[in-house]
Amino acid sequence: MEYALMQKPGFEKLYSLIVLIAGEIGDNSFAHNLGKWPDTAGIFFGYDFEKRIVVLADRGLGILETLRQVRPELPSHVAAVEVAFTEFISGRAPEKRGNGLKLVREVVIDQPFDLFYTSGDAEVRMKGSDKAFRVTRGQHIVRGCLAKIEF
Amino acid sequence: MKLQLGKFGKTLISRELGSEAFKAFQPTLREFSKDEELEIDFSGVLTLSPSWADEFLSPLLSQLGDKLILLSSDNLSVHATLRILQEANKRPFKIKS
Repeated sequence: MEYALMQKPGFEKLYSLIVLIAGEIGDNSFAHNLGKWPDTAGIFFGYDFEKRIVVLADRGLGILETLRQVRPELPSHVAAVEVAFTEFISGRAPEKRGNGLKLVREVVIDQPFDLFYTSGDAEVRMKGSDKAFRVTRGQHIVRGCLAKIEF
Repeated sequence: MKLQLGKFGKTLISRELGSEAFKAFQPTLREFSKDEELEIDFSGVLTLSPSWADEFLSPLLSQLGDKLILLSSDNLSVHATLRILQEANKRPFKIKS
């Protein structure tokens, strides 16, 4: 993916940020579900550079169940995803983790990338000119996490 | 002493690989003089992620403090990663242009 992307006109520098985003989201899936996969282990990872899209998905614990291990008071998927994208917190405390999704949010705000991220019924949609970060409640419950990066 | 980070790979992502790289570097670090500076050269690295760097650069910063020098890079993932690590660690890296 990386070499193909860096050959694409206009992405000679931006490629590294797309790889960074995909790498952080994918690493989270593995790190937080190690030894805990509810059913199917591993992640789906696919990309299509003609459509300018990268998709990652896992059937893991999801953000809420992961963060409740350190913040049992978290009331909802929406609150958990908000915390995951805005605070330096990890579901693997006391290990010092939890900077990846913060950087994903910052990079998507700064760069011409769109992000759709969902876990449980929480949804993050950062698209087009309205790049304000907000988490909303969707109509569907997604087991684990799903991310769609468009560029 | 200068360390070419690219020797650990061109795509530096995941905590697991960052942690392995840090362990692999320990024998070299043990021979390191306390008065010597360690320069980190990012040339050759295509992508640096915060998870990898947090397992490698953050502990180096804790151990070496001002003796750890990061050479400037025009790679956007290096810029973004160093920015978030400095914010998370509440401690700046010493960057040499």
